[in-house]
Amino acid sequence: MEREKRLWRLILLAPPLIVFSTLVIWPLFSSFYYSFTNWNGFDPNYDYVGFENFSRIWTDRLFFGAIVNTAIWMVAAILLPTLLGLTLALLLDSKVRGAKIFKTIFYLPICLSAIVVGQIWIWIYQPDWGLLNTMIEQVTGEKFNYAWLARPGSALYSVIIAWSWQQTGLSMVIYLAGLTAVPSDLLEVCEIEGASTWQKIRRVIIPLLTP
Amino acid sequence: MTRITRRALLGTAMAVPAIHLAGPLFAQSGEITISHYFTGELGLKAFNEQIARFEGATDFTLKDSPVGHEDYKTDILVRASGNSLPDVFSYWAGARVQFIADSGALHPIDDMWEKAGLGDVIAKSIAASATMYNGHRYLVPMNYHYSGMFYNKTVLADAGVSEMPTDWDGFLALCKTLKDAGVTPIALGSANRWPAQFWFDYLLLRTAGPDYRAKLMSGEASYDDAEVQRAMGMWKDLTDAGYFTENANADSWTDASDKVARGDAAMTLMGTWITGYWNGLGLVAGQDYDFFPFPTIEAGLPVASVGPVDGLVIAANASNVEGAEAFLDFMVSNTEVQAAWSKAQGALSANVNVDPSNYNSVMLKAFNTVDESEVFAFNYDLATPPPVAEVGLSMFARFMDDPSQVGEILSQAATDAKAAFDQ
Repeated sequence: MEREKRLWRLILLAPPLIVFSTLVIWPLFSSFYYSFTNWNGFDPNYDYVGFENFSRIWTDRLFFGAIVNTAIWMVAAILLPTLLGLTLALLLDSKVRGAKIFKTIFYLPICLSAIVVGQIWIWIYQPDWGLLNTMIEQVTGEKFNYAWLARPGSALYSVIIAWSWQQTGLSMVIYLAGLTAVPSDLLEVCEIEGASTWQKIRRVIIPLLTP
Repeated sequence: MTRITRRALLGTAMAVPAIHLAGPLFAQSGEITISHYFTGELGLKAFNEQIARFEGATDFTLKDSPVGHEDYKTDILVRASGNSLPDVFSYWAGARVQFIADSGALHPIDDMWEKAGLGDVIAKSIAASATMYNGHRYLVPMNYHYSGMFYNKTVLADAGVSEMPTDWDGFLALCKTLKDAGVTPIALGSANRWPAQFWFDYLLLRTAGPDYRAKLMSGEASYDDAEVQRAMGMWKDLTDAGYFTENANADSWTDASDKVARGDAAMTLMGTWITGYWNGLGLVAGQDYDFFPFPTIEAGLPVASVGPVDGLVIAANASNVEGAEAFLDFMVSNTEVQAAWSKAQGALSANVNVDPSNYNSVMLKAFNTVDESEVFAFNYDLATPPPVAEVGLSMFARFMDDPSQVGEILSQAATDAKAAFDQ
């Protein structure tokens, strides 16, 4: 019986293991192997070149640009939705009228597929008739057609904003769930003791929310 | 509970791949697999109609998997590297075919070419350059395109322009007239980079000539040469004068074509496929739009036309070579197929036996322009090896973003192109 159990475990684990190994593990090791060759990604013939590719990194102009962009994305795309989500959760946790409606609205973007979000933000950023530039034109009264997504200086940040817009809802819901675990009598004590809202958040709520 | 034994498990594990390996043996002997990039506005419906004609005329059936034009460029290379190319696939003649022919991924069609007598069928302007690689025939052209200055007739008429420029001064005067009339002269949608290449191609061909350009494309000349600097300098003069639509890099080629169709801009340097797109929008060739050839800059240089050739090739390890060869022959030899296909595509037929009266007035003019040209040059990204083309296409995008950096952009391109050639 024990043997059969083990066999079943193996059978049930096999499909994800096979998929994971062929799609993640195997490509990981083969690209590591190819990094020591001069394969152009296509030709059946290639030679072993040792560390030549790695030594080229130092002179490759695109490599460092990619690293910097990845770092900016990593920091901003994690920090922004987290901070915005926490702020929204704190605002909605206090007794606001229509909190349920706001929660639904803020959560909605996370239900949209990446294609829909992309399309919405393409419309917002569109230089000639996009929402953002039209609003800027309304406010300043001057023609404004900056191409947010097509200029190297703003493209990355524009995409980070779109990403944060979608992800904020998720972290908001997680923080709202966390906030229900903060004991209300503790917050009451804070108020009686005369703590400011900021002190309440900084000294009580955030420490209780941290894992 | 059904008992699962190790032996049964192993047996199943071996049987599954075995069935897959045996699969081709049971597959219908007349099936040909094909992949192509004729999707959406690039003629999916028309291509399927030609496939149906072929299936009706022969015992073969085609199993097709179309891929979007931009994705296709990498998709086909990935499939080639994985040894999983379809029997037949569409490809752009020139450096791209050369690139995969060099690696032995293509099946030579010399015998079929002779037997079918294709030498008498294929248009002379493209026959040698598009089909021969390393001394062998590999590609059967289906159609070719010509790039010219397509314009909105109403906009030019409203600005009081009746005569199209033939030289550079005339072109600059036209741009000034249009700009003064409050119309942006030139639309360019370089979001996918390649639409900008025709400016580089023509400026270089008209100032330095086809021989110098061929040297640059093969790595014998450098991107920081005086010739390239001069061509780019003239392009910069046009952008500095405000003759291009703003934010070229934010628009696709269809966005730019829409701007000309709507009259927001007057003209766009584009291939004849724009006629297929505009006709689809309800514009009428010769009435709503027309084109003029890129003006002469330096007199005395051979007159060159620029454009791509769409063709079909056969994979070296095709499982149905006989069917694949029959399909290639049919697609170019059958004049009905050629006439219907070129019309739907807004392209020029690769088959000389197609009656030119099949073309509308604009396409007929394009046909004659190519016919009268001394040189038919592939556009930039089909004229230089793909890794180098990447460098150049990015250079055009950077240039359109900030033309004032042209000097730095060119010296960077010179370094990057050299590295790409040495790869």
